Amino acid sequence: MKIENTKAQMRKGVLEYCILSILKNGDAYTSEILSSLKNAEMIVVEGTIYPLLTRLKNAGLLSYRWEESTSGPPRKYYVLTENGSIFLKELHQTWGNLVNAVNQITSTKNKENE
Amino acid sequence: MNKTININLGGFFFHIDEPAYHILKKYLEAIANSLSDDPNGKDEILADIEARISELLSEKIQDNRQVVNEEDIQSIIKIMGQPEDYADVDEGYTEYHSSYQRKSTVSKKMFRDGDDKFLGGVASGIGHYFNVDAIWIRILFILLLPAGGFSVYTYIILWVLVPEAKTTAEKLQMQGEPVNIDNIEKKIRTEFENVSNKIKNADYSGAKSVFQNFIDVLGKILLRFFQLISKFIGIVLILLSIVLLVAFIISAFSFSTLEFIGLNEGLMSNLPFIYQSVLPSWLLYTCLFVAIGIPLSMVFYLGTRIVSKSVKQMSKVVSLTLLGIWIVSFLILVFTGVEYHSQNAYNGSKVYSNTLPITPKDTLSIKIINNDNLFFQNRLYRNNDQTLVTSNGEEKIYSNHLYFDIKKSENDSIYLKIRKKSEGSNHQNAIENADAIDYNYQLNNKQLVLDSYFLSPIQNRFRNESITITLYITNGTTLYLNNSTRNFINHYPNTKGVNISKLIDHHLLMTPSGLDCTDCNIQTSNTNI
Repeated sequence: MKIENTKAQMRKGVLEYCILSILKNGDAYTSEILSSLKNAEMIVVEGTIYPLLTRLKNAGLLSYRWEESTSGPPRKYYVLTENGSIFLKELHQTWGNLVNAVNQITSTKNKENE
Repeated sequence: MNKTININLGGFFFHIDEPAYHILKKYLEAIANSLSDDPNGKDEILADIEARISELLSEKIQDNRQVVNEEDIQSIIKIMGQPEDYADVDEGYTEYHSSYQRKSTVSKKMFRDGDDKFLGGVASGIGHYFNVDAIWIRILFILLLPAGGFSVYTYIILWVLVPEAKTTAEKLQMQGEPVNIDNIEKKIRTEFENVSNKIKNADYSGAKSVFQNFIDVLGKILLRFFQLISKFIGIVLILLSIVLLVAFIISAFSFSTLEFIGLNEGLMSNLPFIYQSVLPSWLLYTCLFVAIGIPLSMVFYLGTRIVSKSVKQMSKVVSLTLLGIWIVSFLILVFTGVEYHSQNAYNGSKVYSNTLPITPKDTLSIKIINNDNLFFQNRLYRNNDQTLVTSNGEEKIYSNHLYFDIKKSENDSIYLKIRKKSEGSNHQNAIENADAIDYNYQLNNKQLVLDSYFLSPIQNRFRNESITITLYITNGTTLYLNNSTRNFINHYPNTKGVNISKLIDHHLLMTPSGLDCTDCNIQTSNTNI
């Protein structure tokens, strides 16, 4: 078992949550989403994101519009839909619970180790 | 020095040099391959990816340099990730269970190997497919040579049917290696080395290459010839299936319209099982349509595939669905056929016996009449034909399948036996069906008037039904057979020793030695001669 695989899977699991959160702060186009995710080191390669975006869009959580750009062809701006916001709220709650749970487990482990 | 190619990537215009172009192209193809699990979003995802790559490229080409080179593409691949990274995240959770399996079950395809060939590369292609060294396949072919030319035919057929591996991806598939960037690159490199080695060793292989060239040309001619033949076969298949399909559709339409407007008399002798099945007739017609139509369409499709390479292979889903539908309708038809046969497996009859109020000294005249209001008959005779008629607002089967017998009574009464015969799925059922036959006669003032027909429910149409009327008379009774009985009566021994049909329209007296004609002068003279 490779450590890289496990790390990548941990990240992938929360990737949807992160994308929806980014869009909650305002519409964004693909490169903006990518740079936020990369800055936070959520993704290593960009390729992962495209199927995911399309899947979220097809699920009705996202929609997009085309916007003219000054430096090239029009850009795809992703927008969070109403369903997306509801989805995000639930993910937010789950995430909170998950963080608490994981913290609890790891901190007791640490105490035992001490 | 490199050639450059102009490309349009996501709406941007780029000059790209040739090696870089090939890498980029392979990269995008590989991505498309790894996205093939998701046919809906595939094009959209690819467009997004292209747009992103062009964005990244245009950021890179901001210096004076104008041409995209290999390095740029490599760095972009580094940013974007390997094709495997594009597989949907859903799979991510199970990835390392499946990724090892995937490697071992990479789909291998049969190709001819043009790089390792003696004639057409068939043997080496088979060798790749079964992971055997090509030499063993070749030896096998040669060993099988005396066996009636079997290996020659096989070789030629495979040569024609199996495509040659031309692109790198095809070559990788031939060897059963997964198609990804690493492998493509590796493959291209080894091929390049092979070519340069060949050039270096050109002097040694010169003698062989003349022979090889000759074989190649011969192979091409053969290939072309067989391609022409196969095209011809394809065209024949297309024409044949079109003709059959059109004929079939027209007949199907005429069937169903006849059915709708009630003109289905012509169908009476066709498709018997449809009228007796427990399943509705529309379902059976649909099944029949599907069971014949799908194979015909497949022949048509096969023909178009042979003629034109651009016709796409049917997707697994479509072909499996069609196969499923076909099997279901075929099974329904088989079931109906079995049902039909079991429906008529048993014979049964119902006998009614009615004493006629006639004294032995009387003269009984017998007449057989038709009801022309039901169905007009120019000439009455016994036959097995059936006609659909409406009797009292109900559709019935009209049949003249009537036998008329004369027999001597064992007691002192004169009586009529009516035997209705039918078939059914069991004995009881057959008797019930026989009982459903509607038959009438009348006795008017010593004249027995028998109906020439019987009526039966439509669903009993194919049960081979018949009616046998047997008249039992005592000695001393005189019969007068009307002309109308001629075509229904069975023979009965008589003193004149002639066929009973000759005694029609005469008075016949029942005597202990048979029927005696009391007013047949001509017959007597006939027997004297």
